[in-house]
Amino acid sequence: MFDFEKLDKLIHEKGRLGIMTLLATRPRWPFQDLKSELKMSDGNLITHLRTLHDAGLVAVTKEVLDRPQTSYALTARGRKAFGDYLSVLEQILKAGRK
Amino acid sequence: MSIRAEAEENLRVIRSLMEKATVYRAVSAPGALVGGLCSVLLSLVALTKSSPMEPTRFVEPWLAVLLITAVANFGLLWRDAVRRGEPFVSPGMRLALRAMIPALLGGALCLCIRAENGFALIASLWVLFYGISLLAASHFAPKSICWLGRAFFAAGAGLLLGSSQISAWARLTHHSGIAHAIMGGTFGLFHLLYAVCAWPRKSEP
Repeated sequence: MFDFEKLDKLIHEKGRLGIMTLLATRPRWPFQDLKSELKMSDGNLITHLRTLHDAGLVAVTKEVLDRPQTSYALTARGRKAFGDYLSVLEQILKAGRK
Repeated sequence: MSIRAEAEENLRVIRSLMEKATVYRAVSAPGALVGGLCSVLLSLVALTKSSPMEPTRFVEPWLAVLLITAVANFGLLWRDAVRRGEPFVSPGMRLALRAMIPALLGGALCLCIRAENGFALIASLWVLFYGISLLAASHFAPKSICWLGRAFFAAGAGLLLGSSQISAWARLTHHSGIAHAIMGGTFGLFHLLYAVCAWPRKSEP
């Protein structure tokens, strides 16, 4: 029997799953690009990003280029957590086929 | 929703988001510079050396330019991948190859054309198929690649629409000269323009 407790509930939530997936595709994502790709409101996105940041899965960089910009990236811990989450999903699918 | 259905749905969401977010530049700006310069040089040399009595060879020298450009482009893509700490055959490259290969094979099949004044037709079809291959990768390519694809597609379509006129010119001049001019004017100049527009700026991360 598969142990569903293995699923990382923090990542399993739809909004945060989208954020983690996008962060896994590029070294860093500016806030505005994340917002337009995920079509989330500022407040919603900030809340999810803060949750992921507090859990140590996401790093934040604030810099001033021609204008202030906040970028987000996966930390090593976040990358591992995302990889583990994907493995668990695969295990669930395999368990369902048996 | 069962946990299995939920897992399937989440994997589908992850896959579609990853594909959407992947941006892959299949033609590097320095690679385009190498290809553009080689193409312009070859077409200029061929145009000055060929005469109605002694038409220059067409297919072999252009395949050599293709080989040089491909080696340079893949070498540069490999160097960039190493610098970023990513695998050379990345998911982006796999997507790009899957999208581009059918049209590139179509271009390769044009070598089977055996017609009088066929070189101009082959060159026009190469331009068109190359444009189609770039456009096929446009949903995960940067805008500059999309514009390059559009330019090649428009040029190829225009050349084919005017092919009867081109054949007439080819008969009046020398049969490979027009074809060399088409290659230099498209693969040469378009790639040089692309290299200038897409050259990495120092301010970029």
